[in-house]
Amino acid sequence: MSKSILVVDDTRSMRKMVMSVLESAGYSVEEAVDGAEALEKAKARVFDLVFTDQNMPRMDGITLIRSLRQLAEYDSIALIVLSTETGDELKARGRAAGATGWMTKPFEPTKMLDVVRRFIA
Amino acid sequence: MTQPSANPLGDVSSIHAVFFEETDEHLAAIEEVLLRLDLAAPAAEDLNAIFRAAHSIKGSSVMLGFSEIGALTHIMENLLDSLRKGERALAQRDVDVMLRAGDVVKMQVAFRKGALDEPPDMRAVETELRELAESGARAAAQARRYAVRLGPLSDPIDESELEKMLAGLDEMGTVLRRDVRNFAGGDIRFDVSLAGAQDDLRSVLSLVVAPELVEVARVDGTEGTRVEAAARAAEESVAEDAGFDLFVDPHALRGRRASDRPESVPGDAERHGRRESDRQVHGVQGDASWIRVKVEKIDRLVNLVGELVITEAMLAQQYGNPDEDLRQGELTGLRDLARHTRNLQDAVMSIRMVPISAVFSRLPRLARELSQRLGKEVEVRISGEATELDRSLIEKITDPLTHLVRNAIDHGLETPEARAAAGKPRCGVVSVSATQRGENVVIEVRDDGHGLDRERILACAAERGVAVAHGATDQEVWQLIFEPGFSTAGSITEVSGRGVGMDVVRRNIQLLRGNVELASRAGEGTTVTVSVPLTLAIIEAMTVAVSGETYALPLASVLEVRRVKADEIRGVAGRGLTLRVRDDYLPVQTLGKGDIAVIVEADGARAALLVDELVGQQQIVVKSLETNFRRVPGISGATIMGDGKVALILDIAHTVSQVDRGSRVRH
Repeated sequence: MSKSILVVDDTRSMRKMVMSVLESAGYSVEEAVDGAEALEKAKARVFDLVFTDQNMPRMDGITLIRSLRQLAEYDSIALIVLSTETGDELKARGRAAGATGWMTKPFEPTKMLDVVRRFIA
Repeated sequence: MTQPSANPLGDVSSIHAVFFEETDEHLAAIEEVLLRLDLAAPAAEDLNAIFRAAHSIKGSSVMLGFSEIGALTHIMENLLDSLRKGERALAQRDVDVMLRAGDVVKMQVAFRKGALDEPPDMRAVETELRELAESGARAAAQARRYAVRLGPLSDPIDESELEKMLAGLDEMGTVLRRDVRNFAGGDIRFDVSLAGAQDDLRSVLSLVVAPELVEVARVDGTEGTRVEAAARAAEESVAEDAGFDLFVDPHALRGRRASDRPESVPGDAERHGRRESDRQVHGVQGDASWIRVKVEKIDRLVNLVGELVITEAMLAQQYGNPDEDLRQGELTGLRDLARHTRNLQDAVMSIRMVPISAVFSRLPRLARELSQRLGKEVEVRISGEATELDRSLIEKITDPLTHLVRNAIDHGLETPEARAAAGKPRCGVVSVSATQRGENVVIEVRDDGHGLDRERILACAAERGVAVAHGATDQEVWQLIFEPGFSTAGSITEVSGRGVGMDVVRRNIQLLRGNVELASRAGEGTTVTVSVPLTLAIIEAMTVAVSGETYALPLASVLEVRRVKADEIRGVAGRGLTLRVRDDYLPVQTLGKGDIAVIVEADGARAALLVDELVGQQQIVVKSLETNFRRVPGISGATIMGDGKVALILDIAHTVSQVDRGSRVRH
């Protein structure tokens, strides 16, 4: 059974890029267009890892992470922010909300897969 | 610069196609918002929308190696960020340059798609954009910011003096966040950032008010640090850092128990993020009896109270049955809950109330510009500007009201020469007033012009093939003005003749559940009276059952309810079903199979709606159908009933006009 990853981003092309990188490595990937939809999907089934954009309408990435951390099922799941934002203050907020890591866009596909492998087999 | 190597992204061409398509959509959205931005007071959500679109384009373009697009949208993002933070006021030039930048990105996309042979030259627009983006941060870093309060005012300041003073300050520096409450007892507050000294500022301010009413406070240096941080962030280039910050060790994550979660205290990060807005307490060390609160916070409060009202209704319904075995204490508790809920609701709604001066204060300027253009002389008299209205209504009433004042000056008032010839003063008067009557606010726009021309309206109606009964009353003739596309203006003027007529004004007011009335006397002038409810969020409604579903009707439009006998409803030739009520025949709209007729009225027209059952009368919290679903003709919104079910709210004006038209068509 392949591991499942949720990709959250309001930009269609960005989702497509992240998904094709992850799918090429054999992961099963689902997508959500913003934090609110991601939260719905994450409640319906537990993913093994989540990549989320920060700046999105309706619900941003940090709020999503904070909400997910309230759920027992997501207590020890890697939740990674994938954002063009690089500000230290924002990263600190992400960390406080329970983010596992912060990956900066543009990202190197091989690096993304490295990171994923550190958390899920 | 990170470039995805050897396409680990997979099928790049299909991603490109998606990117091109979505970039075109983003660019169209950016343009649309830029064109409707209000330069004087750009809405934060509009700036955010442009920011987000630029941000999306940037992210993907850099990933896909379209670095020119990424660079340009990155600078655009910086500019928007600076504007969003209020480091500098929005200027026409910002809009112009951003529009041009959008065009260049569009061409760049076309070039990448292969639709253009050569890439566009981006340098000029990039330089300009960068200059604009940096000027905000620079201005903010150098200028000192002062919070100014003029007041309490014993009398309003002359509008033109005030405008002149603010314009003068705008030349010296930048005026931000103004809050003009220009009436007796009110005050005028704004922030101004300037490089000059505080004394200069005081002396300018003392030109319009007595020096002892001038309060100037230096806003402290925190602004500066924020700007530096922003400037630093802006310096970090798009691609410099392609790294990954690890916050939690993977092994630790795997082994973690539920008990030692990270600092995920709800609202913690929010508090962090909102410190900024909380700091917007006006005047800083000035007047402690006022605070500024973000609108979203209040809206959230209103929503929560709405939910509470629904829950309370649910409890009341569940236990309201006297047969229910309830102890006295519980009954008293329920009654108290109902009372407190009602009081809380009133208190919360009152926070959203804003004086109508927010709209009225723009009118003198509008009148001045308009009269100059039209060669007319006009004096605008404003009264009742302290009357309060729900904030959402203030926004929605601005356009119709502006239109009415334009109409009054353009169509209502005569030229100075014509006035003199008619023995009137050369200068016309347009009076705008607001008063609260019960649950409504009545706004009147009155001019002392030539009044409506009955003959001309009738001629115009005849031309358009609209039948008018012989000997129609003036009131009936005036109603013709509200027909779509109706205009009696001799020529289409630049000012009012833009196709926006009284029909649009009336429709907009009706959407607010208000109404418009006209009165006019030849030679003496025209008065338009607009009446709107104080708030849109909660209304008194009658609930009815139709085929097992509950519907709500705004009580304000219900005239009476009666049980009808089968023989009272007749099919009158060419008019569909009618119900005889006293001496009148009303068109009938059959909603259910029952024999209960609810007589409703909208825009002076009445109709009878047949429903199965009357359910009751109660306050309902109006939820927009448009936001939560989509717009449905005939339905003005939805509400949640005490039993948790959704009830649709009927749009009475629409329903009445439909049956009315139905009966008219068959003439």
